[in-house]
Amino acid sequence: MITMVVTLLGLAAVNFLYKAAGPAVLGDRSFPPRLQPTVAALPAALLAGLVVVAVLGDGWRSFDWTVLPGLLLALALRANRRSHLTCIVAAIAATALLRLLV
Amino acid sequence: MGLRVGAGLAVGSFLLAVSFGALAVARGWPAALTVLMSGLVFSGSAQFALVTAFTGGGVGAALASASLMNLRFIPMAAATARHLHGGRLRRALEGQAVVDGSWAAAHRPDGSFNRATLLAASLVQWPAWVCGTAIGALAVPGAQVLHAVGLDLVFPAFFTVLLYDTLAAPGLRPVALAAAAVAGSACRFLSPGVALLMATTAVLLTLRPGQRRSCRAGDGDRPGVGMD
Repeated sequence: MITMVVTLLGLAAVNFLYKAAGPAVLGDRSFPPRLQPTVAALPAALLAGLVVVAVLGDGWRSFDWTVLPGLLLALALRANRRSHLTCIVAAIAATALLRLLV
Repeated sequence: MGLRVGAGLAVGSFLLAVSFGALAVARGWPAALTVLMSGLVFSGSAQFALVTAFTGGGVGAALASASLMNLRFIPMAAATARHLHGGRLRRALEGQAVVDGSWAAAHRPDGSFNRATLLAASLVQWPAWVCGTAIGALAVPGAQVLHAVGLDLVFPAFFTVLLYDTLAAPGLRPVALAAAAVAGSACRFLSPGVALLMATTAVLLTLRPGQRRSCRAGDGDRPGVGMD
C-alpha cells in the first residue's frame, strides 16, 4: 500500500513538473536538435513494449490468442481514422465474441 | 468552443476511465488510490503504464515507465507557453491543462494555441476522467467476468492504437519493432516492468545518422489523439 502511494505521488509530481517546466522555464524553446529524435522515439518504444508486455504477461503466462484478432481489428479501424474509443470497443467486442464461440 | 470540444472528448475519456478503474482494482490497486491517481495524474497512457509496470516491477520500474511515457508533455507544454497568461507560476499552473486531446483541439494551423480552448477542454475532461475511474473502481466485476467480456483487452488495445498514431513517422518503425522484440524476449524471464524499461533501449537506434533524419521528419505529427 505504501509503495503504491509513493509511486502514485511520484508520478503526480513528475507529471506536474513536465507540464510546468515548459511554460515556466523553457518558454517556447524546444529540446536541443541533437536530442529531439531520441525524445520523439521514446513513446513509440514504450508503447511497443507495453503492447507486448500487456499481451504476453509475466513469463508469457498471460498470452491468450483470442486477443490478437481484437488488436488487429483495432489497428484496421484506426487506419480508417476511427476514434480511439471505437477501436477499443470493437476490439473488446471481437475478442469477447470469439471467446464465446470457442 | 473549448467546452464543446471538451464534451466530445469527455465521453471517450469517461468510458476509458471506467475500464481503467475496473482493471486497476482487479490488479490490486485500492479503489481510493485508483481514483486519487486519476485526479492527480489525469493521463491515461501514464496511468495504464504505471499499473502495467507496477505488477512485478515495483516502484522504480512503474515510475520510470510512466514518466518516460509522459515525457512528450515537456515540449507540448513548452509550445503553449507564449499563449498562456501571467507570470511563471500562473503559466506553470495553466500548463497543467495540456493533455493530448485538449492540446490538439487548441492547436491552430499557424502553430499558435487557443488558450481558452485548451483550458476549457481540459476542465470538461478532468471530472469525466475522475468520475469514470470511480465508477469503474467501485463497481469492479470479478476477473473471470472481465476476461469473459473482453475487458482485459482495454490495456493492449489502448496501447496499440496509440502506437499506431506514433508510427506516423516512418523512422520510428524500426524502433518500435526492436522495442517489441526486446520486451517480448525480456518478459519471458524478467518482470514486465523491467522488460518494459529494457524496451526503451531501442531508442538508441535513433542515434544512427540516417535514422536521425527520418525520425525528425515526423516530430509532433500526431500528438493529438483524442484521449491520452
